[in-house]
Amino acid sequence: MSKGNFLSGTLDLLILRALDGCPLHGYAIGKWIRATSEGTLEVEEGALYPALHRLERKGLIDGSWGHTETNRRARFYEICAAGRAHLENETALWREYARGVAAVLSGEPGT
Amino acid sequence: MTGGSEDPDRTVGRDLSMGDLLDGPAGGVDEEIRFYLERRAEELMEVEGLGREEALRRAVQLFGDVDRIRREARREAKMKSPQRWRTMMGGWVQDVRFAVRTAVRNPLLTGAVVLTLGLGIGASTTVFTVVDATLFRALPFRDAGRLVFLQGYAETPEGPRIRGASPAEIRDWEEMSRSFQDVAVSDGTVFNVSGEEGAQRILGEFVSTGYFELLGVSPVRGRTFRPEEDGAPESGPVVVIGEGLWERRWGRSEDVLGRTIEVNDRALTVVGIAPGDFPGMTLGSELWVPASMVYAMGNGDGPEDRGSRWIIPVARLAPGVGVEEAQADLQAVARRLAETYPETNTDRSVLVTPVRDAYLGSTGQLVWVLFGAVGLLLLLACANVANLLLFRASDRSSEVLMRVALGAGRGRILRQFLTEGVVFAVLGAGLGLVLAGTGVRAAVGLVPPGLLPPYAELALDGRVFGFAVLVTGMVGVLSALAPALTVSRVDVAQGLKAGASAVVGGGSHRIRSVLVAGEVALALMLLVGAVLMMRSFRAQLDVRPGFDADRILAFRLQVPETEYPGDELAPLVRRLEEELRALPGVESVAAGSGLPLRDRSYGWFVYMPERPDIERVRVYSHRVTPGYFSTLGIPVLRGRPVEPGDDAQANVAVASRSFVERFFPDRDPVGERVYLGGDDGMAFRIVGVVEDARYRDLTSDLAAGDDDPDLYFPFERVPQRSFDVAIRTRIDPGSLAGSVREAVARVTPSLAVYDLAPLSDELRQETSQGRFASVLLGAFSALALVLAAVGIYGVMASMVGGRSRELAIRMAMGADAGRVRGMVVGQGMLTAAAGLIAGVMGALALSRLLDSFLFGVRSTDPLTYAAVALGMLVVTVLAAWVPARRATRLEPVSVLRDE
Repeated sequence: MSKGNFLSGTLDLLILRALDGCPLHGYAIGKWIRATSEGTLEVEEGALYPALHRLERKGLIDGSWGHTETNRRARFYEICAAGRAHLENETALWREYARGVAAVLSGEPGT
Repeated sequence: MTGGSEDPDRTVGRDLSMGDLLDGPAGGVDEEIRFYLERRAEELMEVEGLGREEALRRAVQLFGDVDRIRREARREAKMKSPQRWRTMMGGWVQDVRFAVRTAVRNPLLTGAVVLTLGLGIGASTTVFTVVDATLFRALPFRDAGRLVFLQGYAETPEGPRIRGASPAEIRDWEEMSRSFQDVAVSDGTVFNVSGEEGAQRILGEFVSTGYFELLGVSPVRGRTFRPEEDGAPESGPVVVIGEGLWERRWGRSEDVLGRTIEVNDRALTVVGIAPGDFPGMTLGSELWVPASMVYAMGNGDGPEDRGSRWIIPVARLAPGVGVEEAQADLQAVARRLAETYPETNTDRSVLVTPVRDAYLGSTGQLVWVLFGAVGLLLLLACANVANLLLFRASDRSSEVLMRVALGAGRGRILRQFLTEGVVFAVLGAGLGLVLAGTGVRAAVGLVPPGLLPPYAELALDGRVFGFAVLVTGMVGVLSALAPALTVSRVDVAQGLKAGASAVVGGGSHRIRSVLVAGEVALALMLLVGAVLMMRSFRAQLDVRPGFDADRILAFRLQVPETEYPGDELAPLVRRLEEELRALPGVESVAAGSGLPLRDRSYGWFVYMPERPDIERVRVYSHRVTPGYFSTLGIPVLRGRPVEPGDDAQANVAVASRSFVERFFPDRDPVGERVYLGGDDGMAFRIVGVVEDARYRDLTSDLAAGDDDPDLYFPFERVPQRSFDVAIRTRIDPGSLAGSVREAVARVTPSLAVYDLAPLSDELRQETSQGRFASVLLGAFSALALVLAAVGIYGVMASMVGGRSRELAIRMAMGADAGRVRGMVVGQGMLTAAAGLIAGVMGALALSRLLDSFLFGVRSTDPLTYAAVALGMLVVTVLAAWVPARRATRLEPVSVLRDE
């Protein structure tokens, strides 16, 4: 599994998570990810955009043009029902996976 | 050079207008990415305190491989919507919208560009209406491209001369040549139409049978002439009238057909009506009479007199035959005729001239010259606009860098700049068309009557509009090409490292210098042409015409033999003169076969027994009444003028100065004999010599034999049935027109006065071509000078801007302000000098085209060239002086801190 694929899967998840609360535009999503991951995810910032359009194509999120509070045009993304379901499934999977990996690494049997 | 005076708190968006960096359609991936980069850069400026440029560069770096990301995102997005064509169209719409917004944001620059282009497009469109009307508009004849005039051509000791042809010659030309489908003759004349509707002068023609068919004219009523009507003399007492005359005189009454009308006091039967849009070969005819009637009703010595040449036939070239072939064919025929009839046809040939060329004369060439001049002006306008746009391009380097970083290819950026150029050009064209509308109206007033043929009507129509569109596109591309090429050559990597503006700005300076040199060259060429034309016009005005045209009213009469036979003509003229002399405000009156600059005299041959070395001489013979010379103000140099008592038996002649200078240079000509028409012709004794008066033009050198000399005879000795009357007045001659008509009507009610006009009109008409060309070229070159000065100023100003650091250091090191100024001005002069040299060479090459229009000044006149070059240099120094002063006023500290 290449780092790219691993990361792109992660990125999808992060985007969906960012959008879970309210619709955001790309820059806000990026900023949220940078802030919450505390810079641990060293990726090209621009990688966000292919991911956004891929998610939209898959019907997980929905994009539409709107205006920011300073009245600049921007594309806002909103999470769809399918996206929310996907986020929940993936989050559960991730948690499980992370727990598994953590357990293996700590050498203790799972709780 | 990105001055520190800018407000560091400004947002990227406002400053760079990144909102305008639209590559893809609005609402596309590009706009999203752009938005991101803007906000990211703003964040960096805020958080890390980066400068504007730095923040942008950093934002792009953090974003990653913009081009690849953009492609990927687009691919994803495209799978959602398959509407590719909208993307492509959207690109253009975007370009145009962006261009318009850029234009609106820089009103000063846009104003300068639009004004420059508007003037260029307006001027060239105006001139094109003249070009189109004269050179391209269809002549009012069917398939006129194959119509030619056959002009008789004579080799004389003084050089080749254009002459007419005799009826017998024309028959031979037609029969012995193979190049023509058809040959017809027409002889334009003024007919006197009389009858119960009143007397009227109508321009018309004597024509041969095939004339109408050859020109492709079908009558709207009745028929044209039959062959038997153009047989023996007087075999065709019939007439075809024009639709316009039919309407004016007979109110389109159908019963005119078959009626007889009085033409030159002959009863002619109306057999047909020609369509109103057919003007005949005279371009103004409304009446046609068979040529068989010419000897009875008009001029002409007789159909079999081979040497009496007064007709210029028109012919239609046979299919596939060119003008040159026809010329060679007729040349051979002329050689054979010279062998058969050595007496009349030695040194005689024929000139085949396309009808359009003949109608245009030198006007055609003048129109091309003006078109060329306005083309140079347009080119100059383009150079100037390119210059202005280049200046702005260095301002826009960050924007271009951004676009390149966003993955815009070179072609893409080129397209954006070209679109901008076209948008400017379209704005300019809008202004240009408005100006052209005014220009064409002005041209209609400025174009002197007679300069353009009557079918050439000046109007803004679809063709002119098409031309304007074409020019606009061309101008748009031309003016945007240099900036586009410079900018698209930007190296991104280097640009990101160094300050962006340095990259674009530095490269463009050389191009701008070249452009300015080109502007100087073009302006110099136009100025040289204008100055030459003006000096020639000046020289024309300075020509002494040999007579005094002030306060002279002239008119013409034609007296039919039926009304005043033989010896009644002279008494009629005397009575007319008396009646007119009695009018209040009239100083003196005289009549002549022609008047200066209104001449219609035929050339006659004279023989001089005292000069047996000269076989015969062609002269213009003038028949004048006593008082002619004093009335016209023609000075008598020796002997006496024509006097009262010089009647039908007076064998006296008065010579012109150039006649004497050419044939009796070393003796008193008074008392010498001349024979008119041949050595057995009428003998005359020269009794006086008068100053040369200008009868045919102002410029030919009479003493050098450029034109045949003038000889005067008493009117009563050799009377002529059509003649001019000259009235010297004490008051404004125009105000006498009415009373003159009444006076003539009192003497002879059936005769119509025509060509009634002040003689000074002719003088003005004679210089009208020079005036017209001077005014237009003068206006073009003044415009060119202003544009070139603006160009020099712009380049020098931006050079000073670009080198402000260096100049400031020099000043800080204590350099003399005068030397720094001198350096800047010197740089400007260096640029201009290259243009001056190129311009002088271009002008030397092109001014030869003016040769045939110049009088009294040579097209290579060194004084003109030197004066114009010097003038241009002065303008250059002035234009460079302003930025030079600014250079010496730079505050070293502030300049250096800015960097």
